Amino acid sequence: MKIENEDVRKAAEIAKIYLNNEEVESYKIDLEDMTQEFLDVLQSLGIDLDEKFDFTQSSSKRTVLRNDNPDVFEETDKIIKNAPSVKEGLFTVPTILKGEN
Amino acid sequence: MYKATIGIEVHAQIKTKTKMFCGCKVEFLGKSNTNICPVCMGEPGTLPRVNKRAVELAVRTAIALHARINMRSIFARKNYFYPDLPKGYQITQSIPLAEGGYVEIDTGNGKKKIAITRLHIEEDAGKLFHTAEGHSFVDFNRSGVPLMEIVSEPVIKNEKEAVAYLKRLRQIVRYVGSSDADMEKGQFRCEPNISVSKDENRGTKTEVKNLNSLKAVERAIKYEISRQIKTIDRGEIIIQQTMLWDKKRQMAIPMRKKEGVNEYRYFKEPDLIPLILNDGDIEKQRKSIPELPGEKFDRLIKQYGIKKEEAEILVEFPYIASFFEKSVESGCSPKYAIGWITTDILGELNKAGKKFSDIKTGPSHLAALNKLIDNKTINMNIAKNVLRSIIFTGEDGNDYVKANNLAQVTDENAIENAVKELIEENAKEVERYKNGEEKLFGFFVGQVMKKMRGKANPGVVNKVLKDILNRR
Amino acid sequence: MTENELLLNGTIGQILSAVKGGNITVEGTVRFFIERIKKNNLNTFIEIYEEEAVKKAREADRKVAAGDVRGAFFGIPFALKDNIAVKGHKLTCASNMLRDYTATYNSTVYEKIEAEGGILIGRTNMDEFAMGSSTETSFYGSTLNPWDRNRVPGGSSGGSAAAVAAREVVFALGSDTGGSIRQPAAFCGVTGLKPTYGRVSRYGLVAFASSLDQIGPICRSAEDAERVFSVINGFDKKDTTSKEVEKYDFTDYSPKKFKVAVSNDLNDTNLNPDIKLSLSNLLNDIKRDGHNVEGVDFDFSKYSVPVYQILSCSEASSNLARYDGIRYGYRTEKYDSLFDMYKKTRGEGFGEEVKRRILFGTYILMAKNSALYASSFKVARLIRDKLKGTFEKYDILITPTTFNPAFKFGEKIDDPIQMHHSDALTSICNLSGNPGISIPAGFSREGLPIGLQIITKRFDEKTMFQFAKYLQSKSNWHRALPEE
Ligand SMILES: [Zn+2]
Repeated sequence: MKIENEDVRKAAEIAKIYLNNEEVESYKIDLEDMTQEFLDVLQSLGIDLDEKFDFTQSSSKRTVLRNDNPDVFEETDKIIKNAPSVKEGLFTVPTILKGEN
Repeated sequence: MYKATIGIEVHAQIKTKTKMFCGCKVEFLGKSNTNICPVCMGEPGTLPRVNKRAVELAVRTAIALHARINMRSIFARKNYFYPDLPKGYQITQSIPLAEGGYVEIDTGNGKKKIAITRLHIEEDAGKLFHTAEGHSFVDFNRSGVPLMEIVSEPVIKNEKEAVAYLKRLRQIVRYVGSSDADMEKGQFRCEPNISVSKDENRGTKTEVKNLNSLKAVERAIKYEISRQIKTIDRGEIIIQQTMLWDKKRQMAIPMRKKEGVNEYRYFKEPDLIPLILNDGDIEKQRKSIPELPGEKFDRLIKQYGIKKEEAEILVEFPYIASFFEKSVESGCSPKYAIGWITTDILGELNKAGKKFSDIKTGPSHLAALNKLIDNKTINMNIAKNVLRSIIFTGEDGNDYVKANNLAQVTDENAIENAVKELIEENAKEVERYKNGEEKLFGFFVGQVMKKMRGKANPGVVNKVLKDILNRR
Repeated sequence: MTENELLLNGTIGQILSAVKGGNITVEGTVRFFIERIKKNNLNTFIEIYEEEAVKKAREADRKVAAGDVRGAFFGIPFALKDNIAVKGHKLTCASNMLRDYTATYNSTVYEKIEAEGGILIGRTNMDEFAMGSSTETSFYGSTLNPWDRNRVPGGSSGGSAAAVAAREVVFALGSDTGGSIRQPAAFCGVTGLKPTYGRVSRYGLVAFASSLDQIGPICRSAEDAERVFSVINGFDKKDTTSKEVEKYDFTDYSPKKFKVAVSNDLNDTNLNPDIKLSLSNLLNDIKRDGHNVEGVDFDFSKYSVPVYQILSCSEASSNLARYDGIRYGYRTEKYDSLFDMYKKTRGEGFGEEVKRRILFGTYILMAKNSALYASSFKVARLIRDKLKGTFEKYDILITPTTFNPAFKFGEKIDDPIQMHHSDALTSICNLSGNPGISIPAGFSREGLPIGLQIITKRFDEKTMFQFAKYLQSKSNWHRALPEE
């Protein structure tokens, strides 16, 4: 299956991964191969491409739910300590203008 | 002639003690990043666990919306990057908890059912603070708070219907206890999508966000409809986009375009199995549903003969409705009770900047005042004055009337004296009255009442005044 | 058995008895293994918790002296793959992205083993985010195969498998998404189990592909693997995809006749002849013991990998979205906007294979490719149904674990498709949810271990262990040690 450089760039844009042109070229070939391999499998098994099929590995008859009782995590400082950039207990990120989302 | 078409998405915060998928408390009192844990922070290796109460309350809401509940609903991931979204995806539902249903509104000329498309459960994101110094800050206390997304069909015609729908919907979630729905606190977020068209086809729609009150919703929809019509009339096309309501400027501003593309890559959440409900779960919730706002509205009108606007106030404030109904139960006439409550009590509270819970008079006070009117001890005006005076003291109405000597004067002699005094003092006016200026009669009545400090029986005043004037 | 022999080749049960009987000290045991790690220098561990382990060992020895010995793993040194959370310790997934991340909570499996007295001696090397079949994608460099230091240990749990094979630890846990426990177990000549999906809590396992991932033991023998499995299995309320089935308990071996199906893969021309020979001999042996052995028309290894790639990469692209440089992990130095920060952070923080899989998964999940994604479930369902049918007639399905023994460093790393195909025989179980175990079944003429894979019905680990223990009762491959 033919995949264009633009497809790879779009995927990289969505996945928020910086790629240089060389990487785009090389990943494009891998993506093409991986997709083609799958299409070949479908063909040899005589399976049609199907948009609706839903498969769940779980065959559970009931869902285990959590009671609405607080379970407070005490060591929030340990969570914050892992952050690369914090100011007064807030995680900092480059400025985002309101409305940009 | 243009027709507007409006659909509304509402995100209502489900009233739980803990978050949707972890045991962190839902409260926004303390410091930033204190109600967080490895799960709602999306730490590697953590897994979500569904809050039972959130499911129950969503089911209850779905029942109140007359929706069809899916016995097997599916959690899904909506994938996108944003700093307030810890996992890089939001857990929502692909097969919603409920579909269909409606909210019935009163349009002013009849009832209308606003159809509901779906109701599903999802989690909220954290909060971003923006500063000018090159940094934004993220607080994750809100991350993972349970929400119900309730989506209406695009069947709303104007801003009035939109507000009526949202008001009723908000009442419903409050009545069933599934959400406090305080718009200012962001517990009931409304995002209308609006389009206009001259024919049956729906035009290009825009979505408006950042609406923190029903007033804002009303204005934004009105604004957007007129903007779209003007745009089309200029021969331009409507761009499908999201707008932000700017309260200060009273206008909707297009949001800056998203960098990249919208590609949410929905797929079934593999960390959660399907949400399976049984008839028992649903029956249990059905039993806990109280009288709903629409039902209450109809009943109040029918049972008490009050006006629609009055019923609407009572439906919006169930504690006032309860006060009203108890007053009637205690023997007050519905007509007096509703008038006293909606004009005198609410008026006084408004003036004093106080809450309904601050009043000290109870339903029995209203019944007692009613009695004083019935036995002609006081008239309506005095009754209103008495009520206004005792609202915050809770003093007995009877005692107040006695203590302040407000009992009505029916003694014809006393009234005759006052009338005679009046005639002497206003010889010119009397002359004019005699010459046919009959509207002066009202003036005379008012003057007599004034002389008698409002306590005179208006019927007797009329009679005596007429007799004496005619005799002259 | 000398103390040396006991520590090198004893079972968990034997070592436990020696500890309880005061014949060996826990501290001595812990030091014995830590010394071996250092001496072997196979890059099996990313970090050794020497101080902490010795401290715990001393406490354990005091308990022995006080006669207070409790727990199925009392004083037994074990290791965890570096994608399983232990509070206060680094959890890196062998990635630059997480090299500074310290876990803030415990995985359920760690808590269970800890509660039984096990002593954690470190975290083991792996392919970055468990994506790979050779441990070559590790940010910390490859682990060496103890049987041939020029060869890969397999992956992604290469560090755990090599550590157990080189007797640097009594047992280790790995994770298996497409074969990441069984393939390295085969390459290193040890026993590795991927339990039925839902048997073992995934809470605290850094997700690669949530609906395929399972934690499992890598051990010296099937008996040990069963011991570990019987501790770590069971429903966990923190992982609602774990299944509410009766907890598995260790069962002594009792001889019975098995109905054994053998997959077509044994006749595949791609199968290494030494593996074919070893397994054929073994099967003849089994037949001679009176078991019913039949070839069956089951050859999904031709189809499994492409399907596995679609499903695992799709989920991975979402599971790895959380690494954005905000709450934890790597953040790039210079950036001029939020999105620039995201892209550089993820571009620099992830290795090549991880990026490949994220890109592929992102591409597959894009709206226009939804049919590809949905159709992959059809193939998975087909495999599952076929296996179900097989187990209506047979107790056991046997396949080779891999088509070839351990390959050399660099042999496949530049050919991702070839590398992905290392999972052909193992990923079947992940797609279907069935359990699979790889046990040592001989050596190639080059002296490299050969693995046999045993598959059973979902939740029927009992039959699997009975059969594996039967095989290991009549062979010594699992006791062979690499030269030092
Ligand atoms: Zn939390």
